[in-house]
Parts: sequence; C-alpha cells; structure tokens
Amino acid sequence: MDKKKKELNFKEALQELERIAETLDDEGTDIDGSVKKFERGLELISLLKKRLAATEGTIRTLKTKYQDVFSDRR
Amino acid sequence: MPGLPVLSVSECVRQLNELLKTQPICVEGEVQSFSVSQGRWVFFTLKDAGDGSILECFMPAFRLRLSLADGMVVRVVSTPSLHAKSGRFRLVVEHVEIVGAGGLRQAFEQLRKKLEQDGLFAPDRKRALPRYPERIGLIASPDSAAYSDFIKVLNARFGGIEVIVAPCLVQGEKAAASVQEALRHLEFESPPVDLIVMTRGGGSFEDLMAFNDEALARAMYRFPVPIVTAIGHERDVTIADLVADVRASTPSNAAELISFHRREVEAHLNTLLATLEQKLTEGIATIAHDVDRYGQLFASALERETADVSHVSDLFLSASQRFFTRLETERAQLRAWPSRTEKVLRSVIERSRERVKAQESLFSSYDPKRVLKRGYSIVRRGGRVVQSFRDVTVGAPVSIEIRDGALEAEVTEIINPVS
Repeated sequence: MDKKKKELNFKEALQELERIAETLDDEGTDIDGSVKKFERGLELISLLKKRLAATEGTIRTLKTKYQDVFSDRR
Repeated sequence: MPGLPVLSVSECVRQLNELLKTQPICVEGEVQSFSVSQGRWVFFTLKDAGDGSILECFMPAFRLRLSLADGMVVRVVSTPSLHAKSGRFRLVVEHVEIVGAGGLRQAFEQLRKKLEQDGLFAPDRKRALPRYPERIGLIASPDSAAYSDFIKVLNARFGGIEVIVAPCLVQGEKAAASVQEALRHLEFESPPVDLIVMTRGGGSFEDLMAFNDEALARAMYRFPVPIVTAIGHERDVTIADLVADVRASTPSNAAELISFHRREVEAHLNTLLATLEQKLTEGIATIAHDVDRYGQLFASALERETADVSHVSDLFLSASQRFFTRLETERAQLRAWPSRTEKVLRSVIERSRERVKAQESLFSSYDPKRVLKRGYSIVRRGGRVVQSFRDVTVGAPVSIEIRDGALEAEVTEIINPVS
C-alpha cells in the first residue's frame, strides 16, 4: 500500500477527488462524514497540485539494434 | 560434332541452370502483365522501354513486399534460369525495387487502397487517448529536432511523465525494419506504456518511405495501446499516419494532443476546491437552520401549552449546548484548513450562534419562573391551567401558583370584560 501512496496515479487521484466533490452533500445531516470527505478532498488537491508543479519528466532510452548510430543522449 | 559430350534435354537444362545460377543480375524495366496465381506465385514481364524486348519474371509471392502494377519501372535482382518442363527462360526474382517517385507513388496508392479495404484505417477502430498518461513510448531518432521539440513542449505542459525512448532510423533502406523493431521493444515494456508517439521531421516522399511499409502498418494496427504519429510536414500523409489512432501535424502538436497544460488542470482543481467548500458550508448552514426552525416550533408550541415549559426549555438549551460544543470541535479543526474556507465557516458558525442565542432569550421570556417573578400568578383547575373564563364556573376550586408558593381558592365571581 505504501508503494501506491508514493507513486501518485494522477488519473485515479483526480477521479477520487471528482467523486468526493460530487457526493459531499450526500451525507445529509452527518457533518462528521462530510468533514472527513472534505479533508480527504483537500489532501488529494494538495497531492495533485504538487505533481503539477513538476516541470520535467524522466527519459529512459532503450537499447535497440541501431542504438550506436546515435550520439550519446542522456 | 567432335569433342562435345552428348546430353539429354533434361541434362542440358540442368547444366545450363548450374551455370546460370552463378550469375545473379540486376535488370531494370517496365512491369507488364503482372499477375498473382493462387496467391502464391507472382508472374510478370519486364519490358525494355527503348526497343520493347521482354524478359519473363517469376517469384514466390511471399518474397514480394511491394505492391506492383503494370507500368511501374522497377529493378529486379534475380537469377536467370530455364524452367525444366517448358524450357522457357525466365528471371527468378529475389528482390524488387521501385525506381523513381512516380513508381513509388503508384505503389503507395495501391497499398493504401489495399489496407483501406482490409479495414486498417477504419474510423471506429481509432482508440481514444488516455487523459493523464504516466508512461509514453517515443519512437524517433534521438538526434532529431522532432525528438527535442516533442520533449520540450511536453515538459512545458505537464511534468512528471516517464518517456521511454526506442531509438530508430527514420529513413533509408533499414528504416522500416528499425521502426518496427522499436515498436516491438515498446510492446514488451513492463509496466506497459499508456500510448506511443512516432515522429520524424519533414522530408521528401522518398525520405518518408519507411513509414509506408505494409508490415509496419499491420504491426501498428495490432498494437495494444493508441499510437500518435507526427511524420513529416502537415501535407505529407504516410500509411503510418492513416493507421495511427491520432495524427498530429508536428512533433510539438503531438505533445499538445497527448497532454493537458498544467494551467488547465490547476483551474479544474480550483473549481473542485470551491465546490467542496460550498457544499460543506451549505451542509453546516442546513444544520444551523434546522436548529433555528426547531427553536421556532418550540416557541409556538409554548404559546399553546405552558405546562411543561421548564422541561422543554431545558431540553432546548441542552440541545443547543451540544450543537455549540460540536461547532467548537469543528472550529478547532478549521485552523488546519485553507484560511478562505476557515473564514467562511467561521461566519456561518457565528450566524448560527446568534440565531440560537435569539431563541434562548425567547425561551427565557416564556419561562414561567420569570413570569412569576414579575408578580404574575398561574391559576390551575384540576391540574390544568385556566386560560379562559370558560375553563371555570362559579364555586369551582382553583390552585394559584405564585412566586414563593401556592394558594387554594374558590371562584366567587366571573367577570368577562367583553360582555
């Protein structure tokens, strides 16, 4: 479960957040439930915004047959 | 004839073929009478455009990787041979190459028609791109501007994506096989890629021929995830572009098509935050409103029945006290939340508090103990409060509750101010 938390799957996190926003008022008069959902929503927004702040991705180059034809690329 | 060995016909054919097969030749000519028999044998003649002389050609169908048609100018690498039974001379073709752009275009058109008929370009087969890809396979030459343009624009839009590059040749004889090999490598990546981008820069029709290869097209069609192509200039359409799930006009455009810009996503997140805040404050406001409403119901009930006022007032006060305690608990947690949310919730709680306080003073004013303190008394007959002259008759015994005690009395006269 730890591994899942470290690598945020953007799509899944966003889907969970959208579900929470849609169903937050389904709790009726249960303010405890609403507050819990709200806090989870804030947590997800924070994680997603952190991910958006990344300005670079990682590049990994495979070894193919014609690899050595190319100049050295990081 | 002296000195010459005497051969049978079949021995002659055999010896000639032994001789001929050591002499591979390359012949250029125009294709005529092209036909394929039983899907397995290809026959055509090569015509000399100058004097019209011809040579028959033959090859097994599997060896022909191009679409040929009459009129095309080709070069064939072949072994001359005599067909044993018929004695006919023909070239057994190893390899065919189309010469000149005209021929190439014709081959392109034929292949396009064929693959279209086979359904490789079908619109309903085009797959939707994943909205937030985590892993992208990139088929390109790492030295090219196409590669660096794509990476640059992608990073400018959405960071944190893993790009797995499968380097390949993008033009020349070995390119078609190289691109297919790159595709194969990416197919077996684990964890799998979410989509593929195949890209190279502009070039002539001949330069782009590697992407007009039938085997590549079929491999792309079978590929398990969507493929985006950005090959050559916008006006150059290759077979690969037609098979692709999405065709981009340039490598930069490809980066735009596969990713959202982080600004758009942030705006979406802010909208969701606003929705969460709105719904939460509405939820709390609803509860506060309910307290308000019950308070009013209690007040109107009191006007009709003052018997258990103290008890009811106690109930209400303890309920509102519990509500306040709950709100205070939430308020303590509020400090951990964004200050904007905190401000809004604070004001909702304050308004609720004021409304409840207003109810409290209303209740106090109905508290019979206060009424008695002001000098009023409560008259009861048979345990029930006397509110009207109709509730008693002359001579009826009544109890009178006053501030510091009670009196037992009897009605001596009824005075009705109205009559």
